[in-house]
Amino acid sequence: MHSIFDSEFQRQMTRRNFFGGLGLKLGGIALAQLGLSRLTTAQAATTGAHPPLPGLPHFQPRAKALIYLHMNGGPSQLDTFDYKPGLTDLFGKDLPPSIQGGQRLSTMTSGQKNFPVAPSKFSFQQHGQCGRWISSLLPHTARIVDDIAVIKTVHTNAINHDPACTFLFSGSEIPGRPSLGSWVSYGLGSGSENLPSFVVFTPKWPDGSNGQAIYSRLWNSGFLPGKYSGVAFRSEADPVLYLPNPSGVDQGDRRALLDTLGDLNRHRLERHHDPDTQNRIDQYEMAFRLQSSVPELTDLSKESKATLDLYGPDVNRPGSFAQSCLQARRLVERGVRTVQLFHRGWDSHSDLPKQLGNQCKDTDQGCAALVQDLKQRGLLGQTLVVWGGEFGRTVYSQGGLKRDNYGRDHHPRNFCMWMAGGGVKGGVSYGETDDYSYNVVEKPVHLNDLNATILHCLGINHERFGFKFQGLDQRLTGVEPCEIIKGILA
Amino acid sequence: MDDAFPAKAKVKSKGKAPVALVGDPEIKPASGGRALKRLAEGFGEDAYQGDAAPIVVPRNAIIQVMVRLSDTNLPKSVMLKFYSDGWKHRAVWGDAAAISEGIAGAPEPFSAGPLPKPGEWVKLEVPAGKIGLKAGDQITGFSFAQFGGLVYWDRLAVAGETSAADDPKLSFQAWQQVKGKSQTGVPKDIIPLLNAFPEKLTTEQTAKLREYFLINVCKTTQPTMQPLVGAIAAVEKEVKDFDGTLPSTYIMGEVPKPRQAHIMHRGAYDKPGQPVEPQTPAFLPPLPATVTNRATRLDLAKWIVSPENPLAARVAVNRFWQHFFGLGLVKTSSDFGSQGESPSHAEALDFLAVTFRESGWDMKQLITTLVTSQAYHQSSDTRDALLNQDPENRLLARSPRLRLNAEAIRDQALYVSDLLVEKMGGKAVRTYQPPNIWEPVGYIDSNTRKYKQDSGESLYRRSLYVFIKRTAPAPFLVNFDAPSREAFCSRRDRGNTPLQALQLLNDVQYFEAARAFAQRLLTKGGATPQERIAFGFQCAVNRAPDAQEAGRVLAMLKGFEEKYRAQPDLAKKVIAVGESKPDAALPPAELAAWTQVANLLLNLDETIVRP
Repeated sequence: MHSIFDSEFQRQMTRRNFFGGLGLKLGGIALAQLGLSRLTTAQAATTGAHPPLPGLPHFQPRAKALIYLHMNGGPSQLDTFDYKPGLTDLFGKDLPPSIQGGQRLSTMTSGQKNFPVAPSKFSFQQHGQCGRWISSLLPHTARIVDDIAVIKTVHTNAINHDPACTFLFSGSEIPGRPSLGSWVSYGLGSGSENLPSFVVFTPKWPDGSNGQAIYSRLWNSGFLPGKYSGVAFRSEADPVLYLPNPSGVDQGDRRALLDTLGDLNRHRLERHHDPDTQNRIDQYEMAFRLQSSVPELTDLSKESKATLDLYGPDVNRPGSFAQSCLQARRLVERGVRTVQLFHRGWDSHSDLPKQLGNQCKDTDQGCAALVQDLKQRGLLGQTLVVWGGEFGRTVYSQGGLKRDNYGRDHHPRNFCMWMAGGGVKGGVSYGETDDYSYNVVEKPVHLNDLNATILHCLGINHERFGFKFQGLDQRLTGVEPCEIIKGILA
Repeated sequence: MDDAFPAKAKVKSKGKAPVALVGDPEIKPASGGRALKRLAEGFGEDAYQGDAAPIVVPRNAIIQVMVRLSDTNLPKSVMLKFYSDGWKHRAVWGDAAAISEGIAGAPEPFSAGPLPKPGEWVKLEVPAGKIGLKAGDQITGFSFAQFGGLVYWDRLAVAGETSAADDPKLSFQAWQQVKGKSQTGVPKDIIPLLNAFPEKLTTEQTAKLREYFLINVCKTTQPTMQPLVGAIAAVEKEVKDFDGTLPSTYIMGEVPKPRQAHIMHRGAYDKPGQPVEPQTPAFLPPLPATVTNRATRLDLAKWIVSPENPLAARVAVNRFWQHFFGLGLVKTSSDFGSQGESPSHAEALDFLAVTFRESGWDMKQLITTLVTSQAYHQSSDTRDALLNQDPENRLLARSPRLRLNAEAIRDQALYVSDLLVEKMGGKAVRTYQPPNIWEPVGYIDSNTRKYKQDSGESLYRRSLYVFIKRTAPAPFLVNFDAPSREAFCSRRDRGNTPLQALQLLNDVQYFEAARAFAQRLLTKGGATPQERIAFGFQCAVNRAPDAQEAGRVLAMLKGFEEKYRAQPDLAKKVIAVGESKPDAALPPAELAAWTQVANLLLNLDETIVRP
């Protein structure tokens, strides 16, 4: 055996001691005799997946996973879900002040001399057994109306995109707070040993649509530990960054290196007993597994033709919304907890019929296919699907008004979202707006209510789910009182 | 007017044909290349009225025009009309009654003479005074009229005495009279001064206007001024360019009249409450009395560092402690208030805080104290019992093992591999980054929509200099818990994820650094594999490997050496990763095998964790 003192001395000659003085603690020698002990503190994830918080879920959840289809920019509710036939006769008439109710408009339209009512150019029909009115722009969603609950009265505080999206996903207009997906990861842990628990897609969107910027804070963990941040799967090149080995290096090489690395790290662990080192060994093993599980995940060749046809021809186009929807289903099948799709381009201030038409064409079939696909596989009951933007659009035209062309400005007071699966009742319409789709008349749903409901479906009581930061018990749903939308729950 | 109406002329014509300007061979004009032709049955006219330069009537003005009547189609009379505050100024030759238009309120046309001899060009003249035009009047329209017949007109002119006093190109006052309408190229800030009544201008405005006139308009001064203007412009550009090279920064200044501040109810910007003056929280020492009534930022700065105010030194010292020990003596390093935690070692904090302030806020001395302390010199080895008792090491029974932060991990890999370019300062750099990080988030017309990587030494600068796009920060930062800078961060997380592993193993920055590190091992690490492995450990973790470690690494090395000797093309690929060129003097197979060893060393837990 080699001289213990020699190696010990070497080991203690760390950078620390370079500063002068050799305050050696020879207690280190005793450790070598203790031997390795397997540590399993809350920090040492056994497989790289992280467990739920103790006590969570608070009650039996309906949904195990969340798929959030975010239509960024603010889809017009008047041209999609909020049917207002009475507006046709009001074409061009000024929005009555009693309806506007002194609301401050955005500077994009506040300078307009008049605010002419712009009825939707598109026709609406009733669909399904529930008789839901849906615009002709969404023929595929029209076929799943009996599976979805449409909420017409969602409302928000913010009138512009950045604060509105930040509020939608983090419960505050001020950046720095954890996103919804991070909260869910933190609370419920990960359901997959091989994949991240929170995945984000940023699919392509139609040329010519008015696309607003998005920001990585929408899937960031804020003041929660960084491992709960969403992992953005890229639509070009490899979905997960740094997944492939460098040129000339194969998996056999990697295995050899990881074996050596593991041995060396474990050898060191025997001395210092830091559980974080074991954690690191596990993360490297998880990385190795990701190198095979992710390509398997993104390989669509095993999907049946029927499934691919369901999503439409776009499903084969890399980076398309349809393909992202199919990937989302595959991810939740494999235990991923939250998948969010960010589809940009819904901010139709001008040229709305054409732009919104393109936006719907790009997404309608994918959304419907996702719900149907989950249903066919018996997954819809345990997967919560949410569709919507960050605010609605004005009934009055922004810019010039023609029967077949108009624009709409931002409108926070009411907009439409839909939810499906995971404890949500299908075929339901919740809430009513006034004749101008300008005000909520019945059953308002604030974004905090929406987030509380999402957490509820996942088995979390939003009032008992917080994180102490800056002296406050921080919650996704904030401090204002809010309610679960019982009317849409099965 | 000679060959054409003034530019932008609006010509209104009455008569059998539209306005026509004709020349040879139809008719030889009296002057220039063209003459105006008008054929009429009854009343005919070509009238011009417009905004171009008005004609200013000089003193003793005489109106002149060339006219040629057709001898086969004789008009009854011909008339010239001028617009100056109305079409009131008319001179007629021939039968005045025939051409009478009966303009309300206007004097009758002046009979200037009989019809001229037809068939040849005749010069007609009439004194301007006879048709009601006086010196200084501005003519903004004129018209050639006739009753019947075929008439040619040419060279309408006004002759008279001019003096410098009347010439807008010589007299400032005369130029002011003409106003802005006639001037082209007058800058936007001069036009309102020119259009105003001269008596209404302030002395500065008059001076400014006069200066413009002398430099740009006045015929006598302009030739001298213009070259000077050019010279001035050149020097001004030189000054501006030089100023541009000086680094500048924003500073705070006090406004002359301070704004009244209010308590804002619940922080809402539109709900002001009671007015307040600058002061400090009541539970802390007050601001010292000031000379002026209202406290300034300087007062605040002095208060922050005053001996009576313990807070700044305690917070600062605690942050340094946090940096070296992982957690501050006060764990809530951004909150020393009532919601924050008490210090774990209150006397130590007091001692360090007071010493720090008394040393003159000497950071280097503070850091020296911290890193030469017994607490810091402890081994970081621990055991289960200690861990269970004190998982966060608040009682400092050991030195902490802390993963390096994102910037240090990258800098270290570059430093160890001799790639680091230690140049200081300059513009931010764009290092290696996978594609499709910026593009999904940016505005379509953002100037940071598409990522364009730099080359050369910009790839190897310290991470401090890497450009940060906050809505899509660099992966090497995000993966290792660096904040996006959108919100404050007083203590970074030290996470442990598979994405970190993938990055350190596969990112071109790190794999290239591994190859460069391998080059260092081969050229400077000794002659034998054992020496080189020991050197590698020394570089990466500052110690020699023990026999077990060395043996393990050697075994891996041998495996790769065999592989690359058998497959040299793979070796070439491995060593070509990154923009820097591999050392051509080293055999590729050997370099590739050692690249794997270096990759291993740079991925050791011990390499990225402070021991």
